[in-house]
Amino acid sequence: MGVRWKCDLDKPVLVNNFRRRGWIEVTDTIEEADGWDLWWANVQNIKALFGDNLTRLQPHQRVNHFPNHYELTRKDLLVKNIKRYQVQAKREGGNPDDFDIIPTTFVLPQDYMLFAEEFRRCSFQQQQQQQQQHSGGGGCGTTWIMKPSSRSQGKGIFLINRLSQIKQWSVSSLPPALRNGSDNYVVSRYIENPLLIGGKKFDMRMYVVVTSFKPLKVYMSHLGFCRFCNVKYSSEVGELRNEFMHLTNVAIQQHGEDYNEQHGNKWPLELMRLYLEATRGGEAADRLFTDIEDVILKSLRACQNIIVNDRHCFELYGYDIIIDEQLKPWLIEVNASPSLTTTTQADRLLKHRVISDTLNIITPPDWLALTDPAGLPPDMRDVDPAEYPFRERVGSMRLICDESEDYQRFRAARQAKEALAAAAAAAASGANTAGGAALRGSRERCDTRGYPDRDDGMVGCWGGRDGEGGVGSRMMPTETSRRPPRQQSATAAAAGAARAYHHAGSAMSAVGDWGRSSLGVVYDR
Amino acid sequence: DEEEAEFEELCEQVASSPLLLDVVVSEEVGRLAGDCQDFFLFEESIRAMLLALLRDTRVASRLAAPPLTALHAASAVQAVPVPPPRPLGACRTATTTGAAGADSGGGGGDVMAANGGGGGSSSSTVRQTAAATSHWSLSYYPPSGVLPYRGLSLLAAPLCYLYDNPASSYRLFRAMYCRYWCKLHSLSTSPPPTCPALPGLLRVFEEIMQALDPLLLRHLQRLGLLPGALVAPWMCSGFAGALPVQEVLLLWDRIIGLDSLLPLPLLAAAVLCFRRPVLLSCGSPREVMAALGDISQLGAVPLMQAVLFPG
Repeated sequence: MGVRWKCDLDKPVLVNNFRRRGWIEVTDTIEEADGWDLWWANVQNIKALFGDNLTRLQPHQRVNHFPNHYELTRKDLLVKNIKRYQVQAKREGGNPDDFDIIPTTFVLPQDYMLFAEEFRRCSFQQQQQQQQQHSGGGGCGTTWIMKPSSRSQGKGIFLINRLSQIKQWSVSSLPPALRNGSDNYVVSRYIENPLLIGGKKFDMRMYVVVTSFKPLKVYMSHLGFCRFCNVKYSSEVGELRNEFMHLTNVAIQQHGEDYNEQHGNKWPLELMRLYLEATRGGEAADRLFTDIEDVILKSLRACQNIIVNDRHCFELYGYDIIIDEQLKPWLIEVNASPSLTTTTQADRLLKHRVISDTLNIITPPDWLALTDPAGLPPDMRDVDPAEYPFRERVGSMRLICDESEDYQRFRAARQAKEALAAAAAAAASGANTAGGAALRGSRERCDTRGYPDRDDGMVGCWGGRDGEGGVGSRMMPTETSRRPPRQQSATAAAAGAARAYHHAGSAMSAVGDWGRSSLGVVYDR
Repeated sequence: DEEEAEFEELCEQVASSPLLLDVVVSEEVGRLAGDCQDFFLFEESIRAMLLALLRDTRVASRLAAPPLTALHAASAVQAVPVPPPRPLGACRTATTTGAAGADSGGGGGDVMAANGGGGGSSSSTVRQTAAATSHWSLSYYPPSGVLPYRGLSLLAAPLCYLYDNPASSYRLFRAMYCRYWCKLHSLSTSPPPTCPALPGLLRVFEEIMQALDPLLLRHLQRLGLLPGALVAPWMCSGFAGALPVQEVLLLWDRIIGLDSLLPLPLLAAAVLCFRRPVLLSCGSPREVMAALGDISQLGAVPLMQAVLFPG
């Protein structure tokens, strides 16, 4: 016996993950309904699987999509669900601005009249602003982006700034047969002032694993990346047609002149976070990532009651998010089948890890005995069955929501235990054992960038903001220049260096952040 | 904004009077920054910063250590090495041929004649005397007196993470170059307490290695390697490009905090000691280079702490 897997996608990052776990590949020739344990299916097969009322999945079987995932992943249905969620929230007394997670969007052709009204209103508002600021601006309307509801890779997307450009989508001009067609367009207010880095527009790809919608259970990976445009951004009207400036999809950017295979115009999230922390401050960066988590959870809650919560299902979503100049995240879309093609080596490593973490989340405990331990991370080889369902960290994935009662009980019990332990520790004599252990530990931890656990994840875990100056100091959870030098085993030279190092701590605080004041100190020698 | 105006002016000079050195710089920036995931977004900014540094005539007088080579623009097409300083008080006559002048080579008329060797503290007196006795002053080539040594773009690149406009990054880059990085391109041997330049740093590195791990040192030497040569590329780029950006910034924090480049040889020694098991098992120089090829998973601060606070 073993874990039998079926996979519809011929992608190394998937297949290698299955193989290194020692799981057994099942080919398509086996047609029995229970000839497999895990099926990484494409959406067509999922539709067939759940569309066929005769199929009954065994309790242990797992598939990688929810039956009606399209409520979240089709652009028009997502809009519908979010709008309904906004209305409901307002009715319950919530602040509608809190649910402002997607740009104003309409579905065409159904909502054409509503859209036309909003278009004219926005354009009028913009004209008034321009007149007040005397900034001219030739009588064009605001910019909107047209996207087909259910296509990908940037196909069929274009920008408009005049109603005349989409007159053919008004209901009256369409033949009746097409008026309620399933392949419609969504038109969204274009984010004209995106956050730019190096002058270029980018969007973020975040990976989110949902194992249950009701109660909601969600993991988010700290691994993700930013996809940059090849070309510097300009909001000028003449450039609206320039795909390379406005559309960040890799499939489009790959054909640009300046596409570079070495880095694929991609940045890991950690570099973007470093840049934000340095240029906007640590609090702003923290707030942004909290807001992003918030946007993701709200989008899932909007569909919570609609998605069929089949217990055999889990899903790995690729969330596309754009950040504007004010550091507000906007949800652009959710992908049920995020691309597993890899463009660079870094890309391949990242996607491999994301899949591995996903598999580790959904693996039922009784599969562990059938899994090659070499294919599992150390903390999964020897697992406590009581704690297994409540793991808060699985590799790069962090639990960001678990509404189940079991989990609430587990957390309450753990908090009680921690309170008892803290009381006991306070009572005991506080020797410096913690500090010594940390120092000894630091040598072993050197190879993992000095963080106690490299997979700590970036979101919310960049502690160590101990008030010191210097951008770099903020990054480092475990280090502090306030650590007292260990005099007893140091040579005279080391002790002298240690003393200097200790003084440097205060010197560094004096240097402050990398602003003008420190330049004065440094430059005028 | 003063900073921006200064930088704008330098960029205009770059555009209006190009130098052949600009091509050299562009090639390096394209290769080291443009192809690298950490810095590709800032390729243009880095190039602008470097080209501005070549033009900035305020730099020459503020360098903390005299450069390895300084060139004078002897004519529109000829650069000659700056002659060594005459003894103080001696009369100097102009030594150039052809149409020397402040407007050859790059723009900028501000000039200091000859600085040659000598420590930082005595250079000002030499300058004053030389200026008083020379008939006309020669401009440096390039105008700032800074030659674009290999790795210069890496010394600028991490600073682009700190500001969203190149003018501010440039100001910081210029300041750091004048105070610290120029010592990496200098062979001056000023005594303590001034922070050592490259020769001193290499010596500190070798001393630390000798104190920490003489066995490893001997092993490397037996393989025919100069340990100093192994780590010099890291040190001369401030570990940028070798370590991840956040580690580099942490390291540079300490360089500024200690007001010294000594963290560089310290970290270099720490890396070698940390990789000791692998290095001891290497049987050839090629294997050693491969073993040290990728240090991108290492943490700068824990390594330095491990060396400073053993146990």
